[in-house]
Amino acid sequence: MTRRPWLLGNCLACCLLLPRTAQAHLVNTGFGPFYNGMCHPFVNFTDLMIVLALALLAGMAGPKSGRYALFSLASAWAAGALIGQSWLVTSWSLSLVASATLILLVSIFVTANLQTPRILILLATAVVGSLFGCSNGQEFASLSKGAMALIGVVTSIFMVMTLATALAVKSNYGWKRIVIRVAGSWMAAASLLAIGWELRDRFAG
Amino acid sequence: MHLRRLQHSVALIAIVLAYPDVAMAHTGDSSGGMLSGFTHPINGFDHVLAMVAVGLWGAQLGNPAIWLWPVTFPLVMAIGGFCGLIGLAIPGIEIGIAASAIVMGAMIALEAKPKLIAAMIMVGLFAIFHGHAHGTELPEGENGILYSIGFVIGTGLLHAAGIILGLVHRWNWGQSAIRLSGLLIAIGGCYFFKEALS
Repeated sequence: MTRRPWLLGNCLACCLLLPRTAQAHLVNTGFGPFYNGMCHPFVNFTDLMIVLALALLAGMAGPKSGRYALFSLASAWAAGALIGQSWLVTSWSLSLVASATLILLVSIFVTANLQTPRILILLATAVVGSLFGCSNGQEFASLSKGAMALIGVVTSIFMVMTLATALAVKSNYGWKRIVIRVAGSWMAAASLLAIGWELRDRFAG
Repeated sequence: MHLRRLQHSVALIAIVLAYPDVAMAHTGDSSGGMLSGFTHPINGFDHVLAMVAVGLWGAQLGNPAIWLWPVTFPLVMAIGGFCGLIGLAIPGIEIGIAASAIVMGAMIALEAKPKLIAAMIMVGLFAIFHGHAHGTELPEGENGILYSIGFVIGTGLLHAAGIILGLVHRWNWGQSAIRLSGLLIAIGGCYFFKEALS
């Protein structure tokens, strides 16, 4: 190994490790709502599940479908969020039954390893992104800097979708594809139980 | 080369150990929903026996059962759970659960290899029974989606444990061990069958 890359690497490491002011107060930077938005899908599991389900479905259909679905979902989510935050007059949110039903439908396609046409995937991402984005927009409408939070949400969605789609594209044979299908099965099962949970009181009465 | 691998391993372990984790000490909040759901299938020994037996039998049967069971079982079980949640009655649930351990344990002990469709119907039926029992047992007051996620993961991991244990099937001693496990599962099922009848 030559000396120069070793020296450069160590210099870079030293620069990165140099102690600096923490800048821990997001109140000063104004980026608090953005990070709140980024965390939102990870504490609101229906959002995370639908993104994962769509990502796996799109990835299973191939890299081209994955790329189109990635930008379709993010754009639709952003558009829906804008509508929900700024233009929707009546109060509206996506119910758990509706969210879980959408997750169930997409997850069944993943579980069954169905070859979904690209147009259908794009339609699904557009519809789902709009609905979920609109619901998020409504949630954040009353918050100050709600727009910043929504940017964080869409950023997070984009990142999760990118990683999950890439994983699904790479897992196109053997045991890796089985793992993807098992994940789909788990999401479908969880969403079906959640639907039953919500309907429990209705049927019990 | 070995030193580099060691360095990579140490670095990876250090990252994992340094990863900040939340204590999750308050089980009354939404995190309690997922934890409760995760522990629910593990708390019933009859369920544990049957879930591990599904994985073991799948490993014993080999391809395609070894991957078909983990793919389809959670979903079929959720159908049973859905029926239980909405109050759709299925007779003889406890007997069916006990029978699942007896039958699958016997299948494993005898190394029975029925036709795939017959095995699928059998496993599917047992999945409905187990799911229905879980559906009626689900507690009030938890977060539905979180509980469901935790429950499905807990059940899935039990299957995975059965499959991993079943991988010893490649060795002669492993085959004997699996058959003995099947016998023990069937005996356990007989106990639960007796309890269900009394």
